[in-house]
Amino acid sequence: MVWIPKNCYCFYRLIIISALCVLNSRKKEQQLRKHVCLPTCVWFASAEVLQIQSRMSCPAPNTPTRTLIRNVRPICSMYNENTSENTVTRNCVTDSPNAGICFIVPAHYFEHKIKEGSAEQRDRAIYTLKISQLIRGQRMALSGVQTLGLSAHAKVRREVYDMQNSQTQTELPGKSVRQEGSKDTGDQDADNVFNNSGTVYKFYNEVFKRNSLNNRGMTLVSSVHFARDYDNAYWNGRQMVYGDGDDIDFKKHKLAGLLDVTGHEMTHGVTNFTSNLDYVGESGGLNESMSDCFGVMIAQWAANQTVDAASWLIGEGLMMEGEALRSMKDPGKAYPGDDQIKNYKDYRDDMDVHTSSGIGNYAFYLACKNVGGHSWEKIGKVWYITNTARLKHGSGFQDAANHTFDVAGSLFGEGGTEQKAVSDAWKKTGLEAKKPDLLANVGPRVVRR
Amino acid sequence: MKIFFEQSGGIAGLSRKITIDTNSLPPSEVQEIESMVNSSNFYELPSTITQPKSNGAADYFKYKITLESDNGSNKHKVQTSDITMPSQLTPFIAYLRRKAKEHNRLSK
Repeated sequence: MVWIPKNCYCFYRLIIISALCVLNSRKKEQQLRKHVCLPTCVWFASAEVLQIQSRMSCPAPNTPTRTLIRNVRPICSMYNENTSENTVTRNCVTDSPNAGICFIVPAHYFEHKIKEGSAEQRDRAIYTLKISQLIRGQRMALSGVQTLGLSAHAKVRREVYDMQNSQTQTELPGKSVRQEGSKDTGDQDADNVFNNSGTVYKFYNEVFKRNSLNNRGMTLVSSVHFARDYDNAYWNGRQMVYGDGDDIDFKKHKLAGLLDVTGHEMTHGVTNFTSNLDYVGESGGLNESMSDCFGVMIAQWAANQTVDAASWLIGEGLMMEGEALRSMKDPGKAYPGDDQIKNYKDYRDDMDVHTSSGIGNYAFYLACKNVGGHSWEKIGKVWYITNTARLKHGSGFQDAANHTFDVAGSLFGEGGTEQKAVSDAWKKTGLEAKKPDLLANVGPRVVRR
Repeated sequence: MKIFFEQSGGIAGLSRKITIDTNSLPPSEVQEIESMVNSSNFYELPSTITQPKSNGAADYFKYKITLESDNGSNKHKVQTSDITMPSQLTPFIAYLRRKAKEHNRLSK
């Protein structure tokens, strides 16, 4: 057992950094990491803070701390002995039975940074404190921000690139055509994506106090004109990519032009940095549904629409035949041949994730309609908290039902109108929402990637 | 040679398939295909070039390509996606996407 002083961050960091500097050879560095960190999981909440999840210095297993850290999904850097690479993941994972999380840096360090530090240090410190509050049991990032009475220096950073019809992944992002502060390009796809990604950023920032996809102000990178006549838009884990459409199946300029499509893709980014729902099976359907729910919510927010005035369509006018890509009020009825389901009894594992997503979409639509008003004010908040702080990579529809039910109760009152709106909505999709077992997230989990 | 191609997934979750019998194509196009198959090292490619389910990417197209010689003696299948596709396979997939688009609409 090695004792590490909890409040002596500088001392600890100094040991690691100086040791790495002295032992300049890679082999030695590997050995050192093996000794110091493995099977530990190191995560960097900011440049100033190095937090170590370690069997050496952590509290006993199965403490509430661990429960919450699983919900927070910190970014981890795992050293892989076989490939000699550090893999950044969002699931702080270790197979150590004693793993926990330790706070090496005292809170007053960050408070000092907030008061005295540079703008960047201040942002990082606020971010770290927010996370710390979450981990220490304060319920939500939203309330964390309010408690602090400070907001991060949230500033949108956008970059748009032109792939010039190349489909080669290694050529991404392509030729730079527009960034923050530069003028219109005259290319409608590049300009629309630039403007729409700004609206999506603003939505997440103003409604949920989120600073970009990773909540740390990451640059929003989008590439347009990907491949030739490409009927698609996607999130590749780092950036948004848009095709032109072909006027055969998808109308040209719509993929890059529709706010809800950009909202859908950028929400894949948010999910990627939070719940990181697997893109397969029920989690995949749920991941897709989250993107549709926030895509539609962003379009409603931008138009200041009530739930009764909204069309509840995703990708309206995008397809050559049919009204939209998906209908949230009537899943399976968006276009001829649409097979999206809306009841859990129809779910099968071999379905495309865009087919099973109808279950979550319909529940969200019904819950919003049950409450009325603006989707983003109440039910949107419930869904946001569920996706960013409750679900985990393997969560399914029942987990979503349970957690949205629980979060609605926490936010708006147990047994209140909102909580009932949520459980009534899930009931119509064939799911009985009940109190989730928060301890179910506890336990060693090994993710091999 | 027979070529089976399927594109699926994407933001709409729609698929498009095509089967091409190269015997029905003009010689210049057959030559073009052979050149793309050779330059992509198709027969040497692993049969699955897909990403782990949890890397966060979403809405990309998935592709399946199977090449089968006329007598059935030589058959190789490759599964890949927009994200994991090796660069040398890009021209062949672009060609197959174009061919599939000429013949079939996207469908469930």
